[in-house]
Amino acid sequence: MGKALNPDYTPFHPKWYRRRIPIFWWLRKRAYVKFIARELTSPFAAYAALLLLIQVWALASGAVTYSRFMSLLARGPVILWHAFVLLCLLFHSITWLNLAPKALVLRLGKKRLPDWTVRVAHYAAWFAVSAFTAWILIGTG
Amino acid sequence: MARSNEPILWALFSAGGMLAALFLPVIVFLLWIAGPLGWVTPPSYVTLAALAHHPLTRLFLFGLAGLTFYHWAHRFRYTLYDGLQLYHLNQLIAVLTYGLATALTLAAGLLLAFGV
Amino acid sequence: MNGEPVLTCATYLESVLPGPIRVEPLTGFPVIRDLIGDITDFLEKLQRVNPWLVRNDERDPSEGEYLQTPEQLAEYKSYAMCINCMLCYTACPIYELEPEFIGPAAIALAQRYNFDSRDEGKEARMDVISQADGIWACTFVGECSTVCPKNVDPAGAIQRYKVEATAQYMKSMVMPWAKR
Repeated sequence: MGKALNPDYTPFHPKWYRRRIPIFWWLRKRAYVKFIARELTSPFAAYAALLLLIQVWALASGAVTYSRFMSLLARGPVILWHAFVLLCLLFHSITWLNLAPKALVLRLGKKRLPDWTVRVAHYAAWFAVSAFTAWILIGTG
Repeated sequence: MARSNEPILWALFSAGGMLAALFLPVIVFLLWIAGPLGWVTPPSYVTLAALAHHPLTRLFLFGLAGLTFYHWAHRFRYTLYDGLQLYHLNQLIAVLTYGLATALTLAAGLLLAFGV
Repeated sequence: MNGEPVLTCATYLESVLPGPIRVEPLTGFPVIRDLIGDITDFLEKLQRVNPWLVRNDERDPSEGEYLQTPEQLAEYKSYAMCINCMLCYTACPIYELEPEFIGPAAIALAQRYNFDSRDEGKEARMDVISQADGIWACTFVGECSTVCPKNVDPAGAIQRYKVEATAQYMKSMVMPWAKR
């Protein structure tokens, strides 16, 4: 039994079975699929940031370039693609904001604020930010 | 044992994730769906160009884009590491992801500082 | 049981009827035989985080107990509910993929003492926890908290630790002379 308690020994104990983890381990459980889906929203966020920069560049390159860019954006498949991108980004936002209370534990005096207050505050911030951005983007037109 | 330097990367990931979560959906919806479909009338070219040129806008865009790139790099690195069990490629993946994020952020900086 | 980490002692047969029922050993631990896994790894990791009250100055017993208000107790109570059942280790894909990961329960128990007003051992625990095989291996899958039979919420413990470790790190960068 002395051998079994030695942590240096157990990883290599030949008789003990360690199961091999399949490459697509994350397809086995719904919770894992949701996790990987959530993680895979990050390339779409990066894409959105990149395209935004490209749009700014097109804007700075003159009206002709910009109108060419805009007509590209208006194409059917492009809009469909961006609708899909939007869905991924919404998934990111919702999962991210829902988990905020886990990282941020707030206290009012001595009492700990319940999780839903942190969550609601984050969603309120999301709404405020979106409203402000919308106003900037279309209100000043 | 000295503490890991991971906190810097996690801080970038966190900040990027929060900014992306708050700002990107409305931007994508308005600029690339509602606008092109005619649901809202976008501002004139001149107004938009002036808006983009404003130093605050450029600073904000730099922050939003840069942090989003680092958010992607950190998250994608771990997704490849754990999702596809590419442990032996850890160094390579780290270099490629953070490297690309840095390159993109630098490009964004140059564009926003001198090109707009 | 049936692919889900559960306490078999707390699962009613009627909730899994009709059969068949598949009972397997905890994943992530090497199987010695049948349903017996070797949990030495967990025990070693648990020890690493100093899961006891650490005091720089021990008070003499004649001075009485260390007093604690109900609010102070509430700070760490949920983390103290851990029964070391290791369902969280089974649910955590990271633990199975990277066996060096210190794991959810060990971190939750570290927090149990970190948030205990009587404890003074935060620094030493941070040295162990803020490592690549500590909190930074965690990608917040969250399954550990989902399967925990005692609502310990190790996922929350870990995320709070990440925030704290980052804050400490920034502080030490900006004010390296300050006592940690």
